Amino acid sequence: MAFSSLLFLTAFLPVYVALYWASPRWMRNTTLLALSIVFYAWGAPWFLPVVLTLGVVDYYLALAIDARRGRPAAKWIVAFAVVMHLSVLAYFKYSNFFVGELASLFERLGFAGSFHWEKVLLPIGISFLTFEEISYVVDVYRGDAKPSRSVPQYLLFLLLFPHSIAGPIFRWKDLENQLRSRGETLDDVVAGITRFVWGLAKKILIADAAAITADAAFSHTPAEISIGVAWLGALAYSIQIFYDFSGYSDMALGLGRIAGFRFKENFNAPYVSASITEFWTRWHMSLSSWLRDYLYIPLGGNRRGERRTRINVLIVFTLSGVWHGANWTFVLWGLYHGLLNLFERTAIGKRWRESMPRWFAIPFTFALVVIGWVFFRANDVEQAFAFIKAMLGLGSTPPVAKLVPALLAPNRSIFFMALGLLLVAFRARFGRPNEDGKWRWAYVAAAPALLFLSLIQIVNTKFVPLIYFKF
Amino acid sequence: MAADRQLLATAGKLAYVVLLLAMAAIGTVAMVGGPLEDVRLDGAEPAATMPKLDLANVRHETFQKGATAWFDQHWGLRGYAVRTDNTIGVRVFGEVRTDQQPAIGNDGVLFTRDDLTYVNRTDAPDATIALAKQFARVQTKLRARGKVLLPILIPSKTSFHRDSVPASWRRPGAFGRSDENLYRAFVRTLADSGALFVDARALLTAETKRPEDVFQKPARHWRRSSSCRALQAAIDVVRPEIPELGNEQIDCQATLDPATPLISTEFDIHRLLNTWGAKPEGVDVDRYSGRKSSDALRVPTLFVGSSFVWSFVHVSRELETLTPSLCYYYDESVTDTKTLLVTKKVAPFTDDWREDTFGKRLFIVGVLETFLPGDGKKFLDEIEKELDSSSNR
Repeated sequence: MAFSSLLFLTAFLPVYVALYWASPRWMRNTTLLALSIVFYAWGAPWFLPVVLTLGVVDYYLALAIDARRGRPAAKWIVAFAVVMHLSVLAYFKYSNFFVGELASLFERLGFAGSFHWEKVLLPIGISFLTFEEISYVVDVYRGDAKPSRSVPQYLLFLLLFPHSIAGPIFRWKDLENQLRSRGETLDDVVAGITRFVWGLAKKILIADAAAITADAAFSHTPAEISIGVAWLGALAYSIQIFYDFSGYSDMALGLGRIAGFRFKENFNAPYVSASITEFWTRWHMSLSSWLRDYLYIPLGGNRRGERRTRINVLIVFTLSGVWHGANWTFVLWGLYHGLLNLFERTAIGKRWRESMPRWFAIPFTFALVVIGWVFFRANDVEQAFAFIKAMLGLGSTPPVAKLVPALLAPNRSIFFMALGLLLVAFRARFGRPNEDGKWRWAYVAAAPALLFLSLIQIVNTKFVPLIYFKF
Repeated sequence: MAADRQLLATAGKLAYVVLLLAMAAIGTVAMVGGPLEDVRLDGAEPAATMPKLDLANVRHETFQKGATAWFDQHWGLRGYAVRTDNTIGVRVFGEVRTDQQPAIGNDGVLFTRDDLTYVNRTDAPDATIALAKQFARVQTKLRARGKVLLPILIPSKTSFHRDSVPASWRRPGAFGRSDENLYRAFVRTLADSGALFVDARALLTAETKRPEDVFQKPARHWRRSSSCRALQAAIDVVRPEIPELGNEQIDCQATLDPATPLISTEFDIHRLLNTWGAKPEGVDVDRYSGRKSSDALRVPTLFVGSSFVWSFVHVSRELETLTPSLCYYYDESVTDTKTLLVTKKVAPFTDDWREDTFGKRLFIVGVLETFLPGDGKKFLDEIEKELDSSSNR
């Protein structure tokens, strides 16, 4: 059940607010856990027992680690926990990819159809859940967090519906106290519901409008891509992914705030970054910091010399790409960012960063990010390179366009894409327009109108009538 | 004083939260029996049914998917929401959603996406030429059995309202090129092959003054008067092959009904917009008022094609001409034109099909200028195969 679905918005959300606030304070976590289980079960009922089992296993493993602190056994237990979670992730998320690659290798070697494979269904939120589970046991092992003393509380941490299917990636140590006691008020509900509505509007009004252009552009085959289509499509997708993901994060933060949770921010105006290094401190911050703390630093970070640091950076970015999806395009996206990051660490890169004025560095970085998104969105590697070739002016313009402008760049899409870019500029100039900023009055006052516009659009997208239809 | 202000602020915050939640929930409340009644939406859609709630359905997510689709379709204020969003789209952005059928042209002319896809087509004429040759070939084979096959080239709306196709719907590099080439190639090949055919596009272009005389601005299909005129031309073309037609002609006289209700087919694309606002003005409906045909015109006929052929069915039924007749529709249904009831499905190479098909004297196939929908092509292939196999027997 996506937050932007009609069912969530018009049924689950009101029920959630009503039930949560009608519950006595001591029962609110139970109410939240019940709602979270229903929410998760709606999307992946067959995986729910796995999540619950892994949660219970984690709980006991963490207690075991804590009890053996300082002894080698603790290290073995944490290693077991990490391997277990990574194995579950590998099976559910990557087995189809690896088997597919293996099958095509066999085919090339002349053994076509030599084995049969039932495709594994991808459970929703598994990438986020895995990282949260790993961070929990590792933090307990490191002594950065105390183990949970209650199974339901730990399960609530894992399944808390505002974040369970698409993040942000939480850490137990950040939420432990809030899970125990929050002191939520009416102000939290006002702030939370307003944040949710803004997130919804970002997703429905801007991201979905940009998606029309992005989807149309990326429906072109390599031979059909012109320079205009390539840049328009890449720009549209850059707007789409930012407003979609940051909108989703806003909704998650807002939903949590309604119950008094104060989750960490996941985005901080990434498109006004003056370098790729800065971009990664502003984009999907819960993932970047997770990768830093649980991958980059354990690999040695920058403590083992320049050469090793470079390798570590490449490993982290490549794995970040792999984490996003089981496809070579994601690997290339990760590598692309890794290489750019490495360049910025070189002497030339550093000089470049220091000498560039911000007014130039921001659009330049944005253009680099836009090019990177092509790998992320392309249907395959061939299309990705055809797009980039066209963007660099190295492609050939087809004599006949595949699509008419009305389908490739409808007015609504262009308008909301422009609005999206304006809001990025606004954010850069005036800061976050939320409850703490000076634009608070406009931020709150706009919410009913944004909810109305989003709602009617959600309803309308499900209505595709035909003139005549024989059923 | 401070306490009052505090109370007022709390009341304001509470009202704000209640307002937002009420906005979110009102449609669901209306769905489960609230006092608010929704407005009607035009257009057909497959009905979503609530799946059975059981463990297997939940485990396989069929319940969740089905229930979500049912909820989306039955949401209480759906009509208001859709019409409002569409009105914003049309009035503010001057367009319809890209996944919807209608497209807004210049001067209030509405098109379907199929029309605009047709006008922007860029394919080579090979398939069109082959089709024309197949028509000529099958025509010859049928003639040997005393039957007449007649393709009627039904005009595209874009051929008459070409200037109303907006720039945003013109495919860069393609517009004004291929559809015209294909049309010319099709007509030339039919003529060169000695085939009988009616080029209703050329006929109506020569005889009418305004585009609206053939296609009303908010309509999907050609006017009844135009289709009747095409049938008149068809009678003239086949007269030498069917001498019993004599000199009789269909009486296409029609009266104009200016008080056309919105439910009329002349507004079918407009209705599909599902916006708020008055219906377009200046749209009349042709009502047949001519005399019924005599026995001479009662030639057993088979109509084949899509909804554009449907107007022939109406002529046949209302003026009792070219009867008894059946219509093989695009979804393979067989309609008895006298009752307009779907009696069965087309079942090729069965005795029933042979009787229905070869029991007719005249086969009228509607070609959308150069495009023969799948069913029409299937009909041609099947009938040719049957003729070939029966001649070999």
